[in-house]
Amino acid sequence: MSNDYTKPSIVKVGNPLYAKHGSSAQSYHFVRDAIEGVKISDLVAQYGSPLFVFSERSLRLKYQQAFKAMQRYYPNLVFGWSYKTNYLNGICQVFHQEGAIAEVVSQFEYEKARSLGIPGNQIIFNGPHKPEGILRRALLEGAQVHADHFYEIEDAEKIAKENGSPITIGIRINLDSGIYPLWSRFGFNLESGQAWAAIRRIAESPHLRFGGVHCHIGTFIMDPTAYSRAIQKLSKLIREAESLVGYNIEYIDLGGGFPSMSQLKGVYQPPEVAISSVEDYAESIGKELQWLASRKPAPKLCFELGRHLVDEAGYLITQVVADKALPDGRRAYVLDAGVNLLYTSTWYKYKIELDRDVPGMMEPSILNGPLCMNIDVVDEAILLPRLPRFQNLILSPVGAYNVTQSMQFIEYRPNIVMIGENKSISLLRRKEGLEDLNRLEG
Amino acid sequence: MPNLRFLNMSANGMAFDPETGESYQMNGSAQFILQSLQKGLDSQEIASALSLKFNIPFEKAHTDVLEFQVQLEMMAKAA
Repeated sequence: MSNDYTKPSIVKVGNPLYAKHGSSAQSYHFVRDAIEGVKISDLVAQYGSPLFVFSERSLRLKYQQAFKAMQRYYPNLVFGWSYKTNYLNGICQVFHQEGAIAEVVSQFEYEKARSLGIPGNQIIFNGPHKPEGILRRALLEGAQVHADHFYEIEDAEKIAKENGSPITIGIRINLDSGIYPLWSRFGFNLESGQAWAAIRRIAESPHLRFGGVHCHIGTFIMDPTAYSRAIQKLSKLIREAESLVGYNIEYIDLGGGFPSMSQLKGVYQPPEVAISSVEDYAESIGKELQWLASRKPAPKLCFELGRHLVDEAGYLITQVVADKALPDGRRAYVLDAGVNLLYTSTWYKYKIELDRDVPGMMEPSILNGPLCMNIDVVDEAILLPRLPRFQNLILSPVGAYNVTQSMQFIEYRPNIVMIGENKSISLLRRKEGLEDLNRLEG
Repeated sequence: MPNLRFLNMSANGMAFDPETGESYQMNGSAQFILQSLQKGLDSQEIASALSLKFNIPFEKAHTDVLEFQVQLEMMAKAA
């Protein structure tokens, strides 16, 4: 076949996408032929498509940058790796090697952390559903447990009573830090007095000891000063709580919520402009916590960063399966990966790169996934040159939540690999097969 | 066949429809097919010519011609 043949393409001049992109609409600038020095074509040849690829270097770098930024302001710092963001063993182990403890939100995640060799006293246990069995195990193993509701305080009290010695427990607090939406469904509300009632309930029990407060104000918080406002409110509560119980708290846990360099739908500016640096977050938080940082010893300051640490380390390689012209003038592509693997595509517009320069005029296009479902759309408006069948596309950042929330729906879930710092490739999870799914059925 | 057949085409792939005032941009193979349609060739004849000009298999060329003709129809309806 002639090298200069491109399938016929015609577009009406005046499409709004052209107006938005201007002269850049004449060529596609986003080309990536390798991840961490390993060729995309080699990865696909060895592991197939679609394929999740993680960079170990990026994981470690992001962790070290964030920890260093926070350490400038606070001496007794602990990072808990947010398992739900990505609980592949290989990913968890990298963060544990860097010094992170585990932050879990379910029985499954607690058991997974323990199976990875994390002792109970190195686990933060959050979440609204802690069945009594796993709560008992966690408390008796010394986990840092944050009660989400009054029933859990009662459960903890019962367990402590049965055990014959007091048990330390903290509470999750929700408050208005000036951001929207207000996450009031988790933990005890501060402004209404609910949090204070929970602290009193713990303080007045002979079987419980108040350990500290946990407050995760939301996700993808683009305003660092929201943390300042939250800490101001928490500080007042901590002073009152310490006065009530008669001793200093052991820790303050600010959760996570730092954004990644992902493009949130509806935000016009690119992430490089819209997203503050981790140093900005550290400064906003650190300045408000000086009164605790100066204590000898300072209470632990815990963070449960997830997205911020892992999102940019993750890529998804996917291939063009087919294309067709739509009556509305767009070119519709079918990819071999869709919302079954990209849960976060509802909220984020991924960076989409090609693994080679594809010449040709740009067409308004839509990227659909492989599911026989109309909702399976990865990108509904993008200008692309006419892509041939089996063209590789690289979507990023996809490291946060997409693996853990990917569905076994219609298609098998794909291989997941990590490129090590020495460029070696390790299989983090192999592709599913029919035998894996049938094993769970009678 | 829609008005697109009677588009005024320039050498650089731009086309203008004097009836609607719409402008279009097309690539080389699209331009070749459209010019062939304007000459009155049928899809098999165009596919043969396309196959020869771009050195591609006739079967692929035939698919591309048919698919492109449908796209022209859709664009004409939309206009």
